[in-house]
Amino acid sequence: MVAPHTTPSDHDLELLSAYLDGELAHRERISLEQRLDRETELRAALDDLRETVMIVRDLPPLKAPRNFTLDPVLYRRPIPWWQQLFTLGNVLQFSGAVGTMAALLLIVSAFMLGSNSANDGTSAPEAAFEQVAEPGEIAMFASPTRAFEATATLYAMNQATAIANSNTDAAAFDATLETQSEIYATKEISGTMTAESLLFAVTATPWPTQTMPPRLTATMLSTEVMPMGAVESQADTVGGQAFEESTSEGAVSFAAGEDTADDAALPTPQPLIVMPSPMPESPTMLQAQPSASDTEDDDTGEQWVGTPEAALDMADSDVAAGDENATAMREAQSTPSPALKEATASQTPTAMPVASGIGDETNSVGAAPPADMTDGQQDAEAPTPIEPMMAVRNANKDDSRDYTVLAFIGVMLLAVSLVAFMVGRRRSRRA
Amino acid sequence: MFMDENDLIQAAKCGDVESFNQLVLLYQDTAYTVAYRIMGETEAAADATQEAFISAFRKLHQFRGDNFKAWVMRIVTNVCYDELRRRKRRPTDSIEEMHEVQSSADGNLHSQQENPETYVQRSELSAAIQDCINDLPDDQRVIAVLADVQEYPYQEIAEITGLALGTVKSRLSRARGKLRECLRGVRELLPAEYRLVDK
Repeated sequence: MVAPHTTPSDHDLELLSAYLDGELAHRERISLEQRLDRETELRAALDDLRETVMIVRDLPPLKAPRNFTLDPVLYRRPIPWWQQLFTLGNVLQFSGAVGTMAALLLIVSAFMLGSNSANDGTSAPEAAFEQVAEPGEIAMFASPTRAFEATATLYAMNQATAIANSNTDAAAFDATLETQSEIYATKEISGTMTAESLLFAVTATPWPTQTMPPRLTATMLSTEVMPMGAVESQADTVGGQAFEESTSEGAVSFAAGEDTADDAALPTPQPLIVMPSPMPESPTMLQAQPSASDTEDDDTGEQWVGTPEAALDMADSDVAAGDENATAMREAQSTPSPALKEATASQTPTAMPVASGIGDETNSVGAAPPADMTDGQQDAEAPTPIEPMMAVRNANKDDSRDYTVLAFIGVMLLAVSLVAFMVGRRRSRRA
Repeated sequence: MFMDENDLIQAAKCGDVESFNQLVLLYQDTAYTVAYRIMGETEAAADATQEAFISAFRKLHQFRGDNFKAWVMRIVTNVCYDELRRRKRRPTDSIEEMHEVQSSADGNLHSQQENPETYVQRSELSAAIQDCINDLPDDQRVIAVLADVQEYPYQEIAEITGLALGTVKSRLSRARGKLRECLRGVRELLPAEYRLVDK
């Protein structure tokens, strides 16, 4: 007799299904396996179930009927504002803009610093003084005035200010020199003055020691010619116009031009030579100054400077001589001194430690003369101040070179920044 | 330039739609297969697949796991399951859809190294099997596809469907029993190794 087939119950099928998937608990699995060993029907149902699952699992994968990609225009996620700021395009634009501003600032600073370096940090009045004098030189001003009125303001280095007032009607020339709060030279000129331009020389000479400010000396001279080369001082003073060599012995003369209507009638000034020559061994070097005709070929337009020694020599005596000076000056007009003429020809500044402090913070160009020497001796024996002057000039050249490099770096930075900005702008537009 | 899946995912998280589309191309066949096995209809499967990828892109910031494919398939399954429940609430629409002549997606199988006759036989078999799957109730069909097509564990099926573990076991068992009975009817199409024994 055939044993009746027993169909597995739903519970048995559930156990078989879980057993097939390995989802039965351990105890249940052991129990079922024991039944599978005993019950053929159960074992057959398990086989049947296994085949059904395999048929379904063997179903082949399907191919998508189309692409299910998203439209970037429709589904682009809005980027937060803070995230938009840090896109590559925006970062490049910002960097380019900042770099451009920095580059422009760098270039402007380089040019401004370079200009200031050329001016050597002097104030306008001092710059006016420098127009006529290099370190160690004497600045001279011519002040022609029909009324014998001449006002000249001379600004020496280290904020030394010289104001020269003259009152020719009174035949008195009073030059008051002040340096900071100290008045250390006053000159009076008396005597009969002609209607010619009143000349006076203001020289800056070093004190015996380096710590003292320069001494400014005014010497009255006379001239009829206004050399070229204007030196403008303060508005209320005279613009230096020209020079002419002194005709008096050891005298240094020039004319300080006054900015008046009479200037138009003045003779055409002749250019003179800037001469930072060394301290002459004797005041006689200045006995004869180059005449205007001698300097005709000099088209530098620079102003002639003499030596202070002559001014020193004449300051105390010749200035007060009045007529004597005037006559001596005229007589010596056309005779240039050998030293001056040589310097003129070479147009190379020889050391003249005359004016101290110009561009020199120590107020001294060259070695300080011994304290026990007289002014004349000191001036005569002062060493050649070429090296310090050159050092000052070289320092200015080094500064100029640095500022040039700075400007070049600024230009390169500007170019790179502009490129970065343009690239960033293009990327932003593309995005 | 080839980018690995992680790079694509990270780029897509930042809003790069193109990177996400690369991921779509990688998994769209699998996703459509799951959707079709559940929905039983090509159009419904395509709609569900598209909606699933759109939802995946919008919820990409929520992806934290390592298996992006499983994460996407779960989204596909949920979309299909939601659509089936929606249809149950609107039975008239589901009846209309039932009467629609649906082209079988089993005619669009991945090509294999086989002759045309074999390809046709395979297609017919797939269609017959799919018909048996389609005859299952919706709740049983989803579980049967997740268990037998996707081979998800019971716990994950429970999480996807929101059902208890015991419910998943019972419904799966019933689905397999019905499939077994249905497949007996297409026995002649089955390969020799799958010829179910008539009990």
